[in-house]
Amino acid sequence: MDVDLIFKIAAIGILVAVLNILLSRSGREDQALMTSIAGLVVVLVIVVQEISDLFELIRELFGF
Amino acid sequence: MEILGKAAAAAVVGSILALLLKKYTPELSLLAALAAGMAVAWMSVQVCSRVAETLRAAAEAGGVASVYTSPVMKCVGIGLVTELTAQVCRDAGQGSLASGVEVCGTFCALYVSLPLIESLLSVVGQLV
Repeated sequence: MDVDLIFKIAAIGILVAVLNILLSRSGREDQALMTSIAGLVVVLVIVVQEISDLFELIRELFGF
Repeated sequence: MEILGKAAAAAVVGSILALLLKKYTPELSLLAALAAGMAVAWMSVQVCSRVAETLRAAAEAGGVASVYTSPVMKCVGIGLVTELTAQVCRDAGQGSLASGVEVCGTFCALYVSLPLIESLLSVVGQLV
């Protein structure tokens, strides 16, 4: 759980945003939606793992 | 003490990046803010682990039974987790979910402090 995780997520977000605009401008609305969903799933997987590590650390530290 | 500086920097950078992403992909901006929040919480828990160990050692040295100190530590942990989750839900605009988490946290804290209440009642019973 480092600060570079935030930058990784921001990079994915910006990439998805640019791809979204690109695809929607060129008329492929459905692919734009697919791209944003894919980006969301990737980031969700990363963040959920980090959250479970954090809550496990808290649970083990405070003993509940 | 440099943890505070690092946490503050991470929080500011995280919120700026979340703001940047909000216009194009709102859900990813929430996830960025969530990741920054978790990074800051992770740093603060690192600091807190030393405090917790010292408190536990002091409690044992002082002869205080663990029945009294462990519910307190558990309640602090439960409060921390509940507060983090509730605020994330509020950031996402789900006030009802946040209050649901807080109600659940309250009852978990109550459940954890049951042995404390029982030992208090037994002490009071002996006095009477």
